[in-house]
Amino acid sequence: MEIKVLKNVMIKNDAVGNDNRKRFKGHKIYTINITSSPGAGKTTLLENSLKYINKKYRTAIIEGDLYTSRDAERLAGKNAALVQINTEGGCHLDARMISGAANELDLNDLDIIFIENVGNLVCPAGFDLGENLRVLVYSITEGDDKPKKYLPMFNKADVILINKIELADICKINLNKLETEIREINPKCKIFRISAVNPDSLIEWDTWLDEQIGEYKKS
Amino acid sequence: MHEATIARYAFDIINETIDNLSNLKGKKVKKIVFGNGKPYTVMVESFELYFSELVKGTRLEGAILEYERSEQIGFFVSTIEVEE
Repeated sequence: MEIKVLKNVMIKNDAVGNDNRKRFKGHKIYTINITSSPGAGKTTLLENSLKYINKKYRTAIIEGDLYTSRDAERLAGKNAALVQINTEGGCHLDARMISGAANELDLNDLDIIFIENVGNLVCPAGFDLGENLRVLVYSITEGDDKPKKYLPMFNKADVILINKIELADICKINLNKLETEIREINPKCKIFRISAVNPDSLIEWDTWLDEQIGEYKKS
Repeated sequence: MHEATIARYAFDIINETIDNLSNLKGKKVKKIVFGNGKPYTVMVESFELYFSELVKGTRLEGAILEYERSEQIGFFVSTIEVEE
């Protein structure tokens, strides 16, 4: 006997992702899923953006890492609640992991949750975590020819932060070419050029993010 | 490595489908057809490595696994063939 099923396996993840989104919305918490390759600058971005964001908002970070708590240790003492997820080799965070991590947070005492995903420029693209905003931090040291090679990560991002721009000349990167290729596959995304080690270069991004959070909390 | 998660989801969907059909209780699964749609991010060899571990000792053990290329986005459980 043949049974037609025709179910996308990701409905299992997406259902929990939607539950997470509703749960966070119930507490007016804005969630940001930060993705990138390893070493692209996610933790440095958080270290420096928190200096601005934490002046106005109560923040938590869900920190994804394969085996260690090194990034969480860097973010300790930054006035943000921290929950560590070790995936033990898993290449991405999924919605169930975020649901479990949220159980460890006081959701009544938060405005924002940053989720620092596992460093990987492929797999996190397929997993909705229930976030409001998906951010891709792209390090230009990886080249200006990668958007079409790693298409799902680039075309599913709401925001792309082109990082380490201070190295553009040394790495012979054409930033305009990079942006043009991103625009070809994701015309709607917001793009910022940043140097995450330099907080001054984050002002435009921080201000824009502040506006998004403000609008969300009013809705 | 995301194939481990996908194998788990597929395993759950197949079992839930059979559990919802009362006339199939206790029947063994003979064949499962998956739809592998764009952008083809599932590596079949890796998926089978994890799936074969999950099905050990269950009604899915020994089922033939087949794959169809699909124009749809994502990885699907397409059809299940259960013994009469």
